[in-house]
Amino acid sequence: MNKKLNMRSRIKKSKPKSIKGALNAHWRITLLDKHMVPYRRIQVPAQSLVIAAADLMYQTMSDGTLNINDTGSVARNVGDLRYFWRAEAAVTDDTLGIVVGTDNTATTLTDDALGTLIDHGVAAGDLLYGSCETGAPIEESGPAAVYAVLSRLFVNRSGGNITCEEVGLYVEYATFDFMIERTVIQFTINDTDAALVEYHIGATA
Amino acid sequence: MNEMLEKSKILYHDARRLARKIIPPKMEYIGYDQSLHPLMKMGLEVSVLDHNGDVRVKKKMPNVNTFHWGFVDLFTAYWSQGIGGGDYDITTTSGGTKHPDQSESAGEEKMFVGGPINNDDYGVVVGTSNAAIDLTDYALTSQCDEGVGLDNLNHGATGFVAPATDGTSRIFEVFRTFSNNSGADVDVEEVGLYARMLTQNAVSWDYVMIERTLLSFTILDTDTDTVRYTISVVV
Repeated sequence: MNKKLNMRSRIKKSKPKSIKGALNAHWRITLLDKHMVPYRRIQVPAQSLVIAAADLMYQTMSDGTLNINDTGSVARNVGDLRYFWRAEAAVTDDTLGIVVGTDNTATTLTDDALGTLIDHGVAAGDLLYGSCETGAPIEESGPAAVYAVLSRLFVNRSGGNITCEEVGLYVEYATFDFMIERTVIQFTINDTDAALVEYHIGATA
Repeated sequence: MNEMLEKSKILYHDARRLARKIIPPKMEYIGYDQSLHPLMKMGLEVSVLDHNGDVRVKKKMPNVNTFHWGFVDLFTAYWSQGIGGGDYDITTTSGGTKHPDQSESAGEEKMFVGGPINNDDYGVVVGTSNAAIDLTDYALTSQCDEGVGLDNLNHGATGFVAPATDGTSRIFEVFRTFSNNSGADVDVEEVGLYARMLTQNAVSWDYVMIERTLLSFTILDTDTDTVRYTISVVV
């Protein structure tokens, strides 16, 4: 109990400071027990967009054509103004949207996929992927900020605890999937428990 | 397996509701870090040339003032593109609201900033107001129109420099040249970046402001200036 209280005492908390002229994002993970009652929340700043983020943004803004590696490390030339970053995904789809993995290797600019993706399923080491959905934007004050929100629920029915070491965002552009963001963060989803993983990206004034 | 999936769908909706609305008294916050880390940065550079082509003014800002609400709204709108999404309102540069088209049909545009020559609807734009920046700004306060009248400028075509890797950064550029043929000096106080999008059901083109920054410089009569945005991802 004392240990828990000590943890709670650490809630307060770095005050967010404005970072003008930059997009920022954070990952928020809420762990839920088998009754779907939340009992732990973790939040970290998103560590890095990767090369596909810049290149896809350029293509959407400019009608340019670049070879960009998809999540299978295959170069795709897909410049087309009709696409941006589609990230919503259906239940069971572990190829698009918010994804999780077990590799804690530091992110580099040229990463094009998670180190070790956790598959959808109920086998050992698997997680059940819920749908990846867009939420209403979040408006904050002090400093003024606005965030677009994506979220996905992962349920563990694998028969064992699963420790995630990385989270990422895969988006579809044309018919191909690209990783635009990867962050190394550790959290454990106990057997029968679940985790709601949220990605907030936005700007401060 | 199917039974398990069905169950997980039900649990999913319950969990999403609970996780957002219920904060149990014994909720633990571990590693709860609210600090902010820049993911994508935008810098700005202005060069003013006299009629001989010599540089008269050069200004550089490593960071623009802010990305604006419209840019973040475009993320929300397009995260669900191609699969229906919904009627999502975005405030356009005219101050009205429009639903962006979320389909992926040929000819669609989502966030095109390549404004052509003599066009002041989208691309890099400039204005004459130094009104304070607000995250909810949806347009420049007093934009310089295309033309040769008072405070008008002739807009060149918006250009691009393709992404290149520099160490742990990936950088691309968006730029535009303006010519002053108005017969008088133009005092620029604000710079912005507008994107063109197709509205829902391909009804019309409309425009969303991505960025607005206060930057003061004068374009003398017959001078030209180039405004250059540098957009970078840094690991």
